[in-house]
Amino acid sequence: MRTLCLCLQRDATPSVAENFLSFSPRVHYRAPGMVFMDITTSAKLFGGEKQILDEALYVSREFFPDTVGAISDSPWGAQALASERPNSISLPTQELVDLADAPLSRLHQLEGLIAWRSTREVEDIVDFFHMLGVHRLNDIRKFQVDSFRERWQDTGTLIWKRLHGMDKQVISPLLPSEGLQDFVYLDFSVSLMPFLLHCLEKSLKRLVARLQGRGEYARKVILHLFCEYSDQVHMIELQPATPGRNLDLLMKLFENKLGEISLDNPIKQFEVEVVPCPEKLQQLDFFEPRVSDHEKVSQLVSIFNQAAITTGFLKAKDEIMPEEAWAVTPEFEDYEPIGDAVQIEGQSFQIKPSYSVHLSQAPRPSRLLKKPKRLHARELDRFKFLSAQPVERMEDSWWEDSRGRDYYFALSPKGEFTWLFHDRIENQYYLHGYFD
Amino acid sequence: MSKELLLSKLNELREKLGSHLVPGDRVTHAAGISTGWSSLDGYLSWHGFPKGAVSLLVSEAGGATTLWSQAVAKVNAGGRWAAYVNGTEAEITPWNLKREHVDLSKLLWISAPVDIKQTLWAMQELMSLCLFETIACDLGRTGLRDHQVLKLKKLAMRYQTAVVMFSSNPGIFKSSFYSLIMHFQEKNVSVLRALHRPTPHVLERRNLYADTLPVLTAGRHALGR
Repeated sequence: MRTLCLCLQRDATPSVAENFLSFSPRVHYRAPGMVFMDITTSAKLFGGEKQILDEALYVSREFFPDTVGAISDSPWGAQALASERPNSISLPTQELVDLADAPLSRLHQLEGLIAWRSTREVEDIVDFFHMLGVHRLNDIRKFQVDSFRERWQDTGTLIWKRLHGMDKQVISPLLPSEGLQDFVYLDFSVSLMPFLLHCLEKSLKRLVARLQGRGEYARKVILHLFCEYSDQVHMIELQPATPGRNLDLLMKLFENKLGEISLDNPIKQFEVEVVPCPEKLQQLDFFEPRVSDHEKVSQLVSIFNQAAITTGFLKAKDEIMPEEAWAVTPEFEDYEPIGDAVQIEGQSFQIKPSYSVHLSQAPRPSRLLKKPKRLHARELDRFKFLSAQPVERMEDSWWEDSRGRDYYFALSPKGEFTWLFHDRIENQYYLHGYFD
Repeated sequence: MSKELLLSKLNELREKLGSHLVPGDRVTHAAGISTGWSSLDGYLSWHGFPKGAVSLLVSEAGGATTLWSQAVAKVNAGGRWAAYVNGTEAEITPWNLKREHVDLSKLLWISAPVDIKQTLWAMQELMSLCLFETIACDLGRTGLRDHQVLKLKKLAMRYQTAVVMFSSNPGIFKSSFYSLIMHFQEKNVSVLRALHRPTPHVLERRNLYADTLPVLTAGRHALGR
């Protein structure tokens, strides 16, 4: 995946990503001030990667003059390259070669779509290797993955994978969902029209850039002016004869309208809202369904994923441990329980037992705790067990994180029908779910 | 209040409202989604969870998820969709839903949002899709404020969705904008608020527990093996 990374050099609102939708539908904004675009298929529409980089920098520098960018094979590679060699392009498959001589401090930029959990962890890695006399990214590639994992756990493994080009990050399509609104709180109240127009122009400019990216026109622009000394609000509605995004025209129209308003009561804040309409109107067949239910759902899944909310369909899995026996998939996958099988080869046979059939009939709670809750002796005394013997015993293979668990039904002090287990290794009771 | 006084008050109202009054047999109630619990459906004017409104189920002793799952099974049987927004503590799982005959291909599962703001945003996005017949959300121990419930109610009315909020906190703020409020206690289920019905109304729990009995039986079978 070819990725263009823009480093805006200061924080911005997530809606800034919409400015770049004309370069690729797959755009991702990450705070603070990083924009990533998947340009694998769209670069050729701009005449090549150099041209798309120049164009994107031009658009970005309109609002963020210090923007730098780079193109590489992965989001994290492009981010590191943007810091190491601003405005450069790494040829396909050459990402690691181009970053080989970069100093170890570049590990901080090797993050891509998701920021490091803590910069302190990365700092520790950098300090450790400096202490060993290793100062280049290429030099630490010689260390084994186990060394990274043992010392720095998940962060170490991730860094090792990235240094070997083994970590993939996918940029989802950006579906604009934020309203086209801009709210400006003025530092000091304004009663002079030229100054108010100046502030308004900056705000409109931002909205027009978003409209440009979204491929939309302004059908109507609504301006609310909030006065300082009372609750008075002036409202101005502009509806151009033909929808468009001509900033000069909008400013001219606002100038005329504002001339009719008395600014004796100065303006403290204002809000601009744009009612958009599509750039191109397409007549669809009357009987043709516009969007299918599944398309609607997949769009929603994409929007929620952008907001770091996992969304999808539940799928049961053939696993023994309850917390591993289900998963969430972005698209529905049916689950068919598999029965025990007997494999016959000549004179011999082998029984292959399966857990699925029993799992589909076994009692399982409707709500499972994300983490089993340890019950202290006092708490446990208040539970009323429904059987003296366990209703189910679970034990994973001994080479796994084997937890011998005996499950019981019990009524909680509040009367909830709960699912408890006794960890036979720790000799400790845990609350694991509710038959709610 | 004496009978005469009541009649005079009623006549006064009749004079005031005049043509706006409709005879009882001509009153039509908003649509609802059947819960499958006949005594509850029979009592509620919507015959189930109200569509275009927000309901609150306070599940102190459990039972709310099962009730909603039964409603979802009926929604799915008609080829329609449902969505569930999880809470921060526990997550809804597929096993019990399958047992309640919920079609998992028509139930969207959403992980717990980070805060109440994100929860409300997610609810708005879900409703504006005009796809889900019912949307449930596990609030955990947090509650919604009046204006938040009102906003959700407006959205639910606009998109004709039955919004159901779950809470495990009996002390949760019970806004008057909820159309239906139910409290699941150890021995009974109280309907604390239901539009156009006398409240509180108490229902015996054993009807609801009847659904969990097969789970116990399955457990006994497992023990027998």
